[in-house]
Amino acid sequence: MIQIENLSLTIGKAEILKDINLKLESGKIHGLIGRNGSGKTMLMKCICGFVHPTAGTIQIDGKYVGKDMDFPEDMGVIIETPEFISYMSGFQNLKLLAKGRKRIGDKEICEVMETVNLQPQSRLHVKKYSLGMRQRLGIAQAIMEHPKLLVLDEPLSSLDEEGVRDVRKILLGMKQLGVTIILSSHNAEDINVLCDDVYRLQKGCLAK
Amino acid sequence: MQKLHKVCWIAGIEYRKWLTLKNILILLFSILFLGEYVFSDMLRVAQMTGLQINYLEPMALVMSFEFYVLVIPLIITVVLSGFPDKSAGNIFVVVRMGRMTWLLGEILFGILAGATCLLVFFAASFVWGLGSVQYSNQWSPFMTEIYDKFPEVFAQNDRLFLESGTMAHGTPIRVTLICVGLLLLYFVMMIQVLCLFRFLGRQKTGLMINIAITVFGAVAVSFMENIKWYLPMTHAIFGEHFDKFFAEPIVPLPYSAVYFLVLNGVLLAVNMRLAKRCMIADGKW
Repeated sequence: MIQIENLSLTIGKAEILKDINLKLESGKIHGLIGRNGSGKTMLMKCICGFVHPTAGTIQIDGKYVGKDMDFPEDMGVIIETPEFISYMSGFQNLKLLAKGRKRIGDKEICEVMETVNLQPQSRLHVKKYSLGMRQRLGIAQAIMEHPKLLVLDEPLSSLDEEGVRDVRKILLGMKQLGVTIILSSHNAEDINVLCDDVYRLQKGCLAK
Repeated sequence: MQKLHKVCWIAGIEYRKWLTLKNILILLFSILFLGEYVFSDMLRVAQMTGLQINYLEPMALVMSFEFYVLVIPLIITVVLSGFPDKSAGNIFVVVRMGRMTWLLGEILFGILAGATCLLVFFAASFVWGLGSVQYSNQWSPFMTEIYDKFPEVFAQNDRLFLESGTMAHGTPIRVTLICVGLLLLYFVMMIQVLCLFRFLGRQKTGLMINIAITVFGAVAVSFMENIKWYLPMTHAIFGEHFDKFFAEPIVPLPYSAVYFLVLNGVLLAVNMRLAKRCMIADGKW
């Protein structure tokens, strides 16, 4: 359960988020929608612990983000454009990232790459990847360590039709496994197909 | 042990990314500059006088002469201009660790990058002198005998010779190692200044302050006797610790080590505090 209470964020003179109260149940897909600059990404960054709110708190399973933990434990995340080491292959990049937590091995990395329709054996360097392939690799890094919470900022942008179908299937499958997913999208169809709850942000304020 | 592994992991990833950055090309230009302005001239004078150079002397000169020593920190500032990377593209790394581990990993990466720059300069000086230098742990006749044998050549090219204060306090290997140590301590300070201002959201100010500290420090070494020991640059120059003519110690080397340890300790404490609250994935702001 994610509980957001009286969350406000001001940067300089700009009020980015205003008094947001929200309860997000575990094991569901929660959608965030709103126009550009409405505060979706900043709300996600607050939930991830990347940005500390000016006021208010975020609790995840009873622990305060920024106080009891720097970042939510077991979290996978994509915010903005994923960047990888350009002269390495997708597999090598994921392997390098996996070394940090040491939770998964080569087999799991291969499996997750196949899940997002990338070839683990391919020696193609990431610098030669298309935007869609980078996005798939970004999704692979987010889900590869079996997170309990996924925060995805427009994960379906820059994917082709087949890619969108694949990722939707993956996300629905993860929901079945009890993963809590927070995603933002500009595409109404994605939100309708995937989300159990939808929250609209308007000029930093919340309207369900 | 687990924490150390994580710190090294972050440093390793950052280092791999750093190797692909375009601003690393400035290293090539600086090698050409040092090669043409220092290494080639040393070899030319050595050939002219028939005195051989020791393989470590070109770099010992670059790291201990008040004007040349300016070059390396400025290059480091430029090659680390985006440091530390807390953009959205880097969150995959950050999110897998805590903020403190990430900060320590970034600082370790900065030290690695600085050490790499020094190694590249060393390699360039070796290549430049290949076949015409002596490999021993003794100061060469080029440095020790030139004043007696060729006083006119010495007078015309005094910028190419180590001061007696530098040579009287150790063998080439010892002096080089101490120079490297002092410079690395200076790099750590620069890296932490970059970190501090990045956390405050003033990345360019951090760059400017580093450049100002380095340039002002180098000027103070020559012209501001009364304040120069307050500045980190003076402590980073081996030769400044000794009198230029009588080679008497002016400030003991351990004092400079303590100076840097205190300075870096204070900066680390401030950075740790700021890292706890700083904004990550801050591309928009």
